[in-house]
Amino acid sequence: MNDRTGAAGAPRSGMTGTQRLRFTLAATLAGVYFVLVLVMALFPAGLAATLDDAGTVSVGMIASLVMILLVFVVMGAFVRWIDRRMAGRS
Amino acid sequence: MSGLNLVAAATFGVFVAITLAITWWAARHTQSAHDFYAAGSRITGAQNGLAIAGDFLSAATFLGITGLTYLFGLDAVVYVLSALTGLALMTLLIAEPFRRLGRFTLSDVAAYRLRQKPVRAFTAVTSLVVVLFYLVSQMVGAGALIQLLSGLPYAGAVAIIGALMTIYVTAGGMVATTWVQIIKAVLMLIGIAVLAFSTLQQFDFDLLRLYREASAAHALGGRIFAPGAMLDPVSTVSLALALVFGFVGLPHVLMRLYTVPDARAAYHSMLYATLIIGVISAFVFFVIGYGAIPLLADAPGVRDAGGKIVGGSNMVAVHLARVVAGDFFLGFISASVFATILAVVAGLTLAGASALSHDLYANVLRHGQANEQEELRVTRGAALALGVISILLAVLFEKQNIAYMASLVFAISASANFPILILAIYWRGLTTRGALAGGGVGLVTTIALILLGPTVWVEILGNAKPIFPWMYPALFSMPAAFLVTWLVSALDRSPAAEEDRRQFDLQFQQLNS
Repeated sequence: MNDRTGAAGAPRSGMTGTQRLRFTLAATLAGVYFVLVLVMALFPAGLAATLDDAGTVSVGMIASLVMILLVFVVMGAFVRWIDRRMAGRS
Repeated sequence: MSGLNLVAAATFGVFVAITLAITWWAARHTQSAHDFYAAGSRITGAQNGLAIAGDFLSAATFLGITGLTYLFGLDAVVYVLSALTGLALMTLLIAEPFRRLGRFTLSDVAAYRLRQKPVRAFTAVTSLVVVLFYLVSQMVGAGALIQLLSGLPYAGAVAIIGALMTIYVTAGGMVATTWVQIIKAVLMLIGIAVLAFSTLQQFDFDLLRLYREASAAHALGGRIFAPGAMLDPVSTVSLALALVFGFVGLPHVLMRLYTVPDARAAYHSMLYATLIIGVISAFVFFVIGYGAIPLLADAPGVRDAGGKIVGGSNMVAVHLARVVAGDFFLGFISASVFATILAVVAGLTLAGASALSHDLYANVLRHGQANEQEELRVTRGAALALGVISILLAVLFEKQNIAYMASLVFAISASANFPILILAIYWRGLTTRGALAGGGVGLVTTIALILLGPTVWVEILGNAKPIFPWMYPALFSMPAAFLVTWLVSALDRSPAAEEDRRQFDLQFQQLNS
C-alpha cells in the first residue's frame, strides 16, 4: 500500500510508512550518537568517572560499548521486522 | 624494520599473483558497461558486504585507529562510532532507493529527478575531487609505509601501487576491483583476529588486567579512559559530523550498491558490512589499541633515540604484530596492509574514471549519445590518466600532511554530496537550482575553511594565527549547504522548479512500485 498517495492520486508527503520508520530509527541512532559526542566534547569529566575500584572501566567506555551494541540490536530488530513484513506480502 | 621482510614479500607476491589472475578472468567476462561498472550486478549481498567492509578497512582506518587509541585512548572511539553510525544511516536511508534509482554512479541518483546535465556535472566534479584527494592521501601514505616496511624507495613504491591499480581497473573493471577488495578484506579479518587474540593472550585473556596495565603504562594514566585529550569540543563534533555523513556520500562505496542483483541485496550487503566493521572496529579499539600501550612500553626496537615510535603512531599496529607474534606475523600484517592500500585505491580509481566517462563524457558532453564501447574506451583512458596523475601528485605531495587531505575528503563528501543525495531521494521541494546552490556553498565553504584553518593557514602557509580557529569545517559547511539548498529551493517558483517537483512524484512511484 502506498500511504503517501492522496484521494486524487497525488503524493501527500515525501515518504511511505516504512520510510518514515526508517527515518525515525536513523534519527534515533544518529541522535543518541551525537548526544554521546556532545557529552564527550563538553563534559569529558562525566565520562571519565570510573566504575570499578581499579579505575580501569569508565562511564565513557561503557557508553561507547553500549552505542556499538545499540547499532547492532536496533538494526537487527529492524531487519527481522522487514523480513517478516516481506514474507507476509509474498 | 626497513629491511625486506621475506614473509611480507612472499605474501604480497601471492596476493598480487592471485588478483592479477582474477583480473585476467574478469577481463574475459567483462563485455558490457554494466559488467564493467557494476560487475553485471552478479555479486551476492554477503560478498558485497565484505567488499564494502574492505573499502572501510583502509590502511588509514586500521593503522590510524590503533595509533590514535594508543596516543589518546577513549577519544579514538569517535572514529569507530562515526563509521558505525554512518553505516547505519546508509543502510536505513540510502541503500535501497540508491540501488533502485541508479545504474552506475552517484550522479545517476542525484540527477534522476532533477535537470540531468547541471546536476550530473556538479556531482561528477565533487565525486572527482573526493576521489582524487582520497587517492593521493592513500598513495602518499602507502609510499611512506611500504618504504618503511620493505626498504623500497618511496617513488618506486608509489609507482608499483599506481601501476597495479590501473591494471585492475582498466582490464577487470568492477569484477576485478570487487574480488581484490574481498580477498584483502579476508586477509585483514584474519590478521586483526590473530592480532587481537595474541594481544589478549599476553594478559591471560583478562581484559581488565589489560586496561589496568595500559593505565599504568600511559603518560595520561587513567585519563586514557576519558575523552578530551585529542580535540577541542567544536572540532570533536565537527569531525564526527564529517565522518558520519561523509561516509554516506563516498562515491566508491556507493558504487558498490550497484554490484548486487536488487535493492534488497543492497540492503543486506550494508548489514553484512555493518556487522563486519562493527566487530573489527571493536577489536581494534578495545583490545589492539589499548593492548599496544603496555606491550610496546618497553619492547626493543619500537622507539627511536628520542623516545618516539619508529615510523610514527600509524606504525603502532605493525610494531605490536612483531611484539606479540614475531617476524612471521609482522610479514603477514605488512602484506595485508599493502593489499589493503591496493584494493582501496583500485576502488577509488574506478569511481573516478566512472565519473569522468559515464557522467561527464557520455551524459554531459555527448548528451547520452555515446555508445557502450566508446564509453568504456573513455573509462579505461580515464583510469589510466587517473593512475598517472595520482602517481605524480603522490610524488609531489610526499612531505604533505596526508591526514588533512583525508579529512578534506570526508568534509567535502558530507557538505557537497550528502545534502544533494538525501534531499534528492526524500524531499519533494528540492529543485535543481537549490541543489546546485547548496552543494556549491558546501564545497566552497569546506575548502575555504580548511584553507583558513590552523593546518593550512598556520602550519603550511606560516601565518601567526588561523582566521578559522578550528581544524574541521563540517559543523559549519554542512548546515550552510542544507540551509542554502532549502532556501533557494523554497524560493524557486520557476517552471523548471515545478518540473523538478513533478519528477519527484514519478521517482516516488518508481521507488515504491
